[in-house]
Amino acid sequence: MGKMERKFSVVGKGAHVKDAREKVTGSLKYAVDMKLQNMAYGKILRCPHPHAKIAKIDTSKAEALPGVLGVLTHEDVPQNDWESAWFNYRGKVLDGIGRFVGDDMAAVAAQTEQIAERALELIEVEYEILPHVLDMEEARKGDAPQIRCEGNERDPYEVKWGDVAKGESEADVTVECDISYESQQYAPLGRNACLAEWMGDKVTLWTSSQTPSELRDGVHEALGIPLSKIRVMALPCGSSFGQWWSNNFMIVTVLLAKKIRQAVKIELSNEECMGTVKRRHLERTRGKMGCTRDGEITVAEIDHIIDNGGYGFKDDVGFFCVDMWGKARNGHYAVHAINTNLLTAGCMRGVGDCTLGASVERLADRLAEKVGMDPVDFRIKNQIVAGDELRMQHSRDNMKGDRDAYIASIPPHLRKDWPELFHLSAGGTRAILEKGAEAFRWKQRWRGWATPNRIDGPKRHGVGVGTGAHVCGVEFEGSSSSMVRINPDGSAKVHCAVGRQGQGSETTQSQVAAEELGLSLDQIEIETGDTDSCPWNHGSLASSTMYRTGWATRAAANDARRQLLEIASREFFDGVDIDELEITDGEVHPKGEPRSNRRFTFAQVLNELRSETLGQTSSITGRPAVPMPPSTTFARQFGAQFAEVEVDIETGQIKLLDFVAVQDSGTVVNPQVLKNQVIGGAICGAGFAIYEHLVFDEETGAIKNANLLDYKLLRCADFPHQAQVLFEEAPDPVGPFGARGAGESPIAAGISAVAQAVHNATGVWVDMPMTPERVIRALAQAH
Amino acid sequence: MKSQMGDRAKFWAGGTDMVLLWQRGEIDLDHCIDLRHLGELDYISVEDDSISIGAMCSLSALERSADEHHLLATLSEITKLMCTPQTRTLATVGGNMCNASPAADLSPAFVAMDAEAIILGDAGERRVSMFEFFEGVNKTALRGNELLKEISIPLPVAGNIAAGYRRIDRTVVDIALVNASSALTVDASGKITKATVALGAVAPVIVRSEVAAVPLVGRSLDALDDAALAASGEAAAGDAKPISDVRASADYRRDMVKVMVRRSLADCIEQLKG
Repeated sequence: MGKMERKFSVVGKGAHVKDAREKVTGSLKYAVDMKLQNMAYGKILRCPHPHAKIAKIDTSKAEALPGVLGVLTHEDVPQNDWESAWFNYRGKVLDGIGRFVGDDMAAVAAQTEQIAERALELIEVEYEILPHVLDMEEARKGDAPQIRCEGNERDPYEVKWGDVAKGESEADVTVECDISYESQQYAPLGRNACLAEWMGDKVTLWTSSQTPSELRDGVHEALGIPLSKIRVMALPCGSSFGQWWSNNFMIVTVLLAKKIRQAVKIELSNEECMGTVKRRHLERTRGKMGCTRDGEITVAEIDHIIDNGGYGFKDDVGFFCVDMWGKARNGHYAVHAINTNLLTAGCMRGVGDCTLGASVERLADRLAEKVGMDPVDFRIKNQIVAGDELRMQHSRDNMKGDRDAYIASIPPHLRKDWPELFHLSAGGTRAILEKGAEAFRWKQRWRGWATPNRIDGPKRHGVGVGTGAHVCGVEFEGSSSSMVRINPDGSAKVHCAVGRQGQGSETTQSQVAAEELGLSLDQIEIETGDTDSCPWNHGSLASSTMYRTGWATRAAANDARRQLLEIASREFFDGVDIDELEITDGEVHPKGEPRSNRRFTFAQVLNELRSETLGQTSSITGRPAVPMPPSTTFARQFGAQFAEVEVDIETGQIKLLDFVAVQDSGTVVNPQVLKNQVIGGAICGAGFAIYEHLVFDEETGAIKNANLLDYKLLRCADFPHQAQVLFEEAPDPVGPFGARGAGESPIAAGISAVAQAVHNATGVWVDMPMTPERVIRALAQAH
Repeated sequence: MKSQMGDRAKFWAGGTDMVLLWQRGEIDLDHCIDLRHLGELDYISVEDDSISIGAMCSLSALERSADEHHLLATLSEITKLMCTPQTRTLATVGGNMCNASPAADLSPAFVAMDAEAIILGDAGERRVSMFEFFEGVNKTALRGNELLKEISIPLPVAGNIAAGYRRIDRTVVDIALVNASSALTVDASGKITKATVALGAVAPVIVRSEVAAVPLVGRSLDALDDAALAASGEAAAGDAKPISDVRASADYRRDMVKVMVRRSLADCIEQLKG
C-alpha cells in the first residue's frame, strides 16, 4: 500500500460512495419511485401452469372494465427472439406459451393499479395443458417434453487438457463426488419497476438495471426497431447481484405503452421479484479427482449439469475454478445446460464458482484429507500463480480460429501492451492464502482434518479455508466503452453505462477519471444509465466494471487530457511537447513545477479557446482509441477466506464465529468500496452455504418461499462483526492503475471455507445449503 | 364501539401483525378500533401471588422488566428473540397472543407458567387458562365483543418456580421452526411439585404435554439427571403433531422437541439451583 499511496492522488484512497448521502436520506430515486405525467399502471397476467399454451384468450370483459386502457396479448407482440446478456433469457416477449408457473402471458394497463389487478381476473384464458418436466435429469431423456425449439439440451461446454487416463494411472489416491446444489435467489431488498413512454417512433425506458446497453439491445431485437430510436435511462438498483439486467417485464412494458399510446409503469411485487424473474441455477456435479501421495493433483474429471429453467440459455457456467486449480496435470470438465419448466435461471454473483467451484474445492479437500495435507498447503501446491498457463482457453473459439493465427493477426499497435495470452497476467492465491493464514492464525487453530478445535457439550467448533476465482470481465459481446467530457467551466463528466447496483462503480469510475485527469474526486460527475449519452457498455456484470470499463474510462480520460494539454500548450506554453506539461489539482503547469506561476485551470484553458478562436469546440470529449485487450485470456481475481463455525450437533444449527477474507484484485482503487464488496460477497456466500434456497412445489415447480420470511438471508448480526478484510495488491499490467475485478471471487471463497469448517467441526460433509435439518441428517447417516 | 361495528371491525393493538395481514389481503375490514391510547392496559405488576401483564404492554417494555422477577427475566429473554428492536416497540403482548400463531415465542412460556387470560366483555371479566385461550391458528377464546385485558401468571405460595424456553431458528430475525417451554415448581425441600411442558409450532395450538411431567414430578431437583430430562423430552415428542412445510420437516420438528424440552428443563434447574 505504501508504494501506491505515494504514486496516486485519488486512486487507493478510501472515499465514501458518491451517492451515500442520497441513500442515507432516502432521496435517491429508484425505478419504483419514478412517475411520469399521465401515466398508466400495468400488471402482468401470469401462467398458473408449469407448461401450457393459450388455446383461447378473451380480453373483452377486462377491456370493458371502466378505467382499463388496454390489454396486451401475444397476438400483439412481434414474434422475434430477444436475448439478455450472457444468454440469461432467450425467447419471445410473449408467445402464448407458459414455460413455468408465473411466466408472463399477457398484460393490462389501467388508470390505477387496483383496476389493473381486477382486470387481470377478467381475462378469460383457455389453456391447453402441455406435458412438463421439472427435473433436469428427466429433461435430458429423449422422450422428455421439449420446452424450447432448440431442445432441452445442447452440446456440452468442455475444457480438456493433458491425458485423463494417464492422470488416473498416476494418481495414488482418488476421490469421487456427486453433489447437488439448490437454487439461490438474488433476493433483492428493493423491488423493480419499468416505465416506458413513446414519442412518435422513439421509446424511452426508465428502470433499475445494471446493463443499460444490453437492455437497449434487447428492445431492439424484440421489436425490430433501430437502436437509435431506443433510449434506456437506467436507474439505481437497491441490490441486484445479476438480477436486474434486461428482463422480459421491461419489454412487456414497452409494448404495453405502445399499444395504449400512453406512458405505462409496471411495478413488480416482492413475490414477482423473487418468483417470476430469475434465480441461480440448480446444479449437480459428478466428479473425480486424483493426486499423488505428496499432494500433486494428477487428474480432474468433472461432469456438471445446470438447469436453465424456461428461458435461460447459458452453458459456460463458472470455469474459473478450472483455471485456479490449473496445476492439475490432466483434466476434463464438461458442463451441460438443460431447460426445465422451472423459473428461468441466470447469472447470479459468482455464477458457477459458488457451485462447480465448491465441488472442485470439496474434491480437493477430500484428497488433501486422504493424503494428510493441510488445506492451505494443498491449495498453494495446486493453484496457479502469475505466469502460469490458463486452462480455460475457450476464448480461442470465440476468436474464430487457431490461437496463434489469432494473435498473429492482431495489429501491432493493438497488441503492444498485451500480456502473454492464455497465461495469468497477475496475482494468484499463494499470497492471499499466506496472508490470510497468518492473520487467522491458521496453523494454531487448525487441528487436522475432521477434528474440532473446541468441544463445548453438543457444540463443536471447526475452522475452514476456501478459495475462489473469477474472470475480470468479458469481451465476447462487445468492448465496453466510456466517454469523458471536460466542460468549459473545467468540470468533467464520465459517461459509462454500467448502471448502479450499489457496489460503488459510480465512485470508483470517477476515481479512475480523476486520477488520470489530475482532478479531485468531487470535480468529477458521472452518468451511468443514459444510453443516449453513454457509449455501449457490457454493464456491471462478470466482474468487469473496474477492469474493463475502468480501462475504458482511463483511456477516455487520457484522451481528454491529451486534447486539453494540446490546447494549453498551444495557447499558454508556446507549443511545447505536451509531455513537458502536467496537471495537478486541476491546473496545467510545466512538468515538475506544480507551484509555478504559469499554471492554468481547465476553465482558463478552455475559455481561452472559446473567446479567441471562434468556431472551435469549447468542450472536450475523450474516448478510448483502441479496444481493450481480450482479458478473459489473462486476467483473474482471487479470494481466500478463513472461517470458524460452531455446529450444534443436536440441532444442526451453525453459527459463524470468525471470518478473515483476503482479496487479490490488483491495485485497490477504493479500499472502502472493495471492503464492502468482499464482506458482502462473504455474507452472501455464507448464506448460500447454510440457508438460502428456493423451495419448488414438487408437482408444479411453483416457488413456495418467494418472500423474505421463508427465504432466509443472513443479516449483519448473523455474520461475525469482527470479520477482517485484507488486500493483497498484485498490480495488473493492463487494468486501470493495476486494478482488476472484485465482485465475484469473494462469494465463492466463503462458501467453501464454511463447508470445510463444518466438516472439521463434525466429521461429515453436508450438501448445501447446510440447513439444521440437513446437518442432522448427515450426522445420522454417518453413525 | 365493537358491538356497534360487529365483525367488520377488529381491535388494533401494535398493528405489526395486522399490517401484514392487510398487505397480503388476508383481512377484509371496515374499521380498526385503536387501543393504543388505553394506557390503563399497559402495565406489568408483580404481587406476592401473581405477575400481571397488561395486554397493551409492548414487547420492549416486557424486555425491560427483567429485574422485577426471575420469570419476567425469562420472558425478557424470549422477547429478545422476537422480530426486531424497532418492531418490539410497537408490538404488544396482547396483540401477539390474540394473533394466536402456533409458532409465537411467548405462548408456550405462558402455557408452561400456567398463566391465565383475563378477558373483558359486556358482562364483565372472565378468566381462561392460556392453554385454552388458543383454539387454532389465529383463533382464540375471545367471543363477540370481548377484549384481552391481561395475562396473569400465578406464583407459588411456598417454594419456587422457574421457567425455560428454547427454540430452533435460522437467522437472527426469524420465527421459531419449533419451540418448547417448561416450568418447574419446587417446594422448600427442593422436591418438584409441578412440572409443565408446552410445545409450539408442532400443532395448530400450543401443546401441553402431560406425559412429559411424569419423569419429573415428585423427584428431588438434585436427583434429576440427564436421563430424566431426556425421558421427559421423549415423552413430549410423542405429544407433538408436527407437519412438514417449507421451514422444516415433521420428523425434524419432532426430534427437536426432545432437544428443546431437555434444554429448557436444564435451564429451569440451573435457575432453581441458583
